Amino acid sequence: MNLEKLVRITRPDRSGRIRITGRKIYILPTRYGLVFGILLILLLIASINYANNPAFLLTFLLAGIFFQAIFHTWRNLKGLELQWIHAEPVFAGETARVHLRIADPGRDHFALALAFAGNEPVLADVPAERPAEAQLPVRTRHRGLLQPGRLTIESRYPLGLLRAWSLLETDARIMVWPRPLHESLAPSDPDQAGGLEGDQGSGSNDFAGHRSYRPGDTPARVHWKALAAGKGLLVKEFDGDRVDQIWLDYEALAPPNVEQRLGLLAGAVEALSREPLRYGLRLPQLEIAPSTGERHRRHCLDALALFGDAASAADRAR
Amino acid sequence: MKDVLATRPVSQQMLLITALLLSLSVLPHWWNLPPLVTGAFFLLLLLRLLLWREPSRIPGPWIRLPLVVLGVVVVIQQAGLTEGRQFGVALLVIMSGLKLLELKSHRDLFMAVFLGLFLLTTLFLFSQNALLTFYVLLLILAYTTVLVLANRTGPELPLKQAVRTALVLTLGGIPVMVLLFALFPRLDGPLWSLSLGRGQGITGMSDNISMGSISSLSQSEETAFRVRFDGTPPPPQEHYWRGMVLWHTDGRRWIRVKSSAAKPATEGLAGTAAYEVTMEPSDQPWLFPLDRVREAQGDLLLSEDGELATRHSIRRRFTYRAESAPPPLTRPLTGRERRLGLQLPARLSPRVRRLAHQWRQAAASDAQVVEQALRHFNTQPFVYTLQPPLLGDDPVDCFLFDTRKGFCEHYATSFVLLMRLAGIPARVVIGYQGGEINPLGGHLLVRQSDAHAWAEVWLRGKGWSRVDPTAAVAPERVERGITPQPAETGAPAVFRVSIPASGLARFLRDLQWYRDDLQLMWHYWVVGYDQSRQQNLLQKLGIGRLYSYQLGIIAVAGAIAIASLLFFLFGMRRPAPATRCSPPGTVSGAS
Repeated sequence: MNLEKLVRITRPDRSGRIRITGRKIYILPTRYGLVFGILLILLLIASINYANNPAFLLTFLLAGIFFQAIFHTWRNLKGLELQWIHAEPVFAGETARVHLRIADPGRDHFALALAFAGNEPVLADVPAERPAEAQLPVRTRHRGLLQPGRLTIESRYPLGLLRAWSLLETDARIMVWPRPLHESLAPSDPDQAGGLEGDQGSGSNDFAGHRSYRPGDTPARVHWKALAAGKGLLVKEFDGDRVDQIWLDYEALAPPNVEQRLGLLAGAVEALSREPLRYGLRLPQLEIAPSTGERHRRHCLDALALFGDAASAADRAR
Repeated sequence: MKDVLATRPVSQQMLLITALLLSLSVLPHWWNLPPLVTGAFFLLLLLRLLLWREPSRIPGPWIRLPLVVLGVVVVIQQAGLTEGRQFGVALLVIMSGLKLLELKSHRDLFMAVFLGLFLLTTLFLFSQNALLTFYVLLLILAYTTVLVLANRTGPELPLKQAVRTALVLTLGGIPVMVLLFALFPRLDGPLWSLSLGRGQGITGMSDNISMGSISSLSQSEETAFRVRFDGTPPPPQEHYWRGMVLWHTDGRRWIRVKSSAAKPATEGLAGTAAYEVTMEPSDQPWLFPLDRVREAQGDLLLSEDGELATRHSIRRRFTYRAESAPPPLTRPLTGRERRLGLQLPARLSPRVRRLAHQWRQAAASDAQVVEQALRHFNTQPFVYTLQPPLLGDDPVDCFLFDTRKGFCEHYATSFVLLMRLAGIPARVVIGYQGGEINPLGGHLLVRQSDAHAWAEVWLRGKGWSRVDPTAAVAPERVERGITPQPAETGAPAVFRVSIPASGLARFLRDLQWYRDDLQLMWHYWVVGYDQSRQQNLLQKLGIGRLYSYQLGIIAVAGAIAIASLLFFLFGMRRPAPATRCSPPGTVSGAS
């Protein structure tokens, strides 16, 4: 904890800008820099031993260039301003792209490498005339509002002998939806089978029987239990006039595991959103009325992502 | 995070640039190494560029391995293990060629650059002149540019911008270089004993000369001896340290003629200058007292010709006392001296004879002949140079009429020959001339590079008089020794008889002089900069005596301070946005 305090991290200001100041930049030689150092020592020993003054000149010039490189590498980070723009929501397990704007109207910066902790670095040049935009990959694992963690920005320019880096904290938030599951959408209680798929609004049970699966059938109508029992892919047929309205009910699902249920619901939302259907989502503390469209889809998926502890946080955020 | 650039393949342009730079670094070794070694390097280079031009394609291990073995065999066979320096450099050259053959990723590129920098240093083992150093400096700039290019991300090479960045880095490095160079502690001797393959062990003067022998000695910055005067030292133009007298010549070489009686040097007269000399080991018995020795301590021998010597060769540091008075010292000419002083080589060209005859005809006295000869050297386009051209079969004729470029021994020997042709007894004297006052110890330091040759002519009524024809060509040589001291430039010429009239001729000669002056300055400030000159410089800067480790700490601290100062003065200035033009920014993925 105390060590954490010693590490210098740049945090965004109120407007969300992260400005890298000189004091928050670390700098150390790279592997090549160490080899270069060994080379310098060898050259120095040779110069001393042969009392060779031009060799001394060369050695000291290389040392001078190395000294200058320290400052230039440092300067390549100093004065940069970063700002989080946005990040597209992704399903858990996918790689999100965090968009950052990097700018310094004062001077050019070259070959900056940026990476969120544990993720692949991205290279960017930042000319003085206009800001550059970098898309940083972030691997996701769990649903929720993900904070991608510490951002490292580093530079080996101009010589590659030294590495300057700075640790940054960003405002970046990535909405990670539950990983959609398409396999079994079985209700918890066989008697409540209609609770999941049927149109509750019609007031009657219009279930008409099973027929064989045809391409184009929504997964919602697949008779999963029959499938599980090895009877082949059957689809439930409904005769009601409002069968294009479906409620997805968290409580009605069979698997006891929360994440599994959310995954199933996410899979259902994904599947239903491709159909000309109206669907609604019923969670223990939240109900989203049936609707269609991309906005609705996102709304539902967001609600699933933030289910549980995160739900209240998301409400506050909204 | 991982180094995104390290595993990136090298572009073809980068391969070509690196190949070019390594070739330029190896090229000067053509004159230092067996031709087969440098040849092998260029063969490997050619192989790469002809057969594996694409950087991503490199020869397989079944091609590279035999080539490595072959390369090592060539090095061992050609350079030999006996001479460490040549062997190491030859190995380095072959390794660079092999590295070029397998250059593929940026990691290889870095290694190639480091090998190249090492190669550049090895060039100085063979030659240390200013031109080579300048060449190496340019190549360092080029290597820096390669590193900058290697650290750019875009697909295209922003060459101009990279050169500019490299230039800024290099220029910023120069003050640090100068400071470290001036202050970094120098050792008296090497860290371990070296076999440089010189083969001659101790450098020093021998008792015979030929044209070119002293100029080679002048490259050595080793100390010959140190002198401590009682009281004020005589003026610099009197600093002639007289060694051996050479009488006999075959037209090419000049040798001593053993004088009959060498007696203890105790019964002389009191001189005007008393001093103590500490000789460095020379493996010779010769001593170099101030011209002309009158009295020396008892165990030394003084020959008839005024040569001072010990009874045994000097194998370790040796100190003696002596007293001298400036020549000439009147004494009658002996028969032996007349005979030897007029000896001529069997072969002499008619041109040389004619020149001496002309002077004899025109002059009323011997002194006027001498003056005429000096005027000849002064007005004709003679050049004083450390690197005289090679002379043909008849060196005197060739020097006097064709090349006209020479070091002190060229002037002294031809002058003596011309005097003898004109009937004036003359002889060549070798020794040292000049020396440097050490402000710390107050003593005079004479180096091997101060080796000099001059003439003595016998003039009626005066006796053996010293004449330095080199002074007629390069008075500065006599004024301040071979090692230039800027404070003394522009001092009046002593022997200068007249000023050449022609403007162009004078300009050309001045130009030659500047070039030579530059060489001498280089010699003084760079090649010959050692512990004593360092102390000398520190003294002038007002920093007293410092121990080597203190000096080392100051050097490094100073270097860091000057580097940061420079950077914050010039590096942090923000360029005006209006005048900028740089390529558009690029963003590329990590893959």
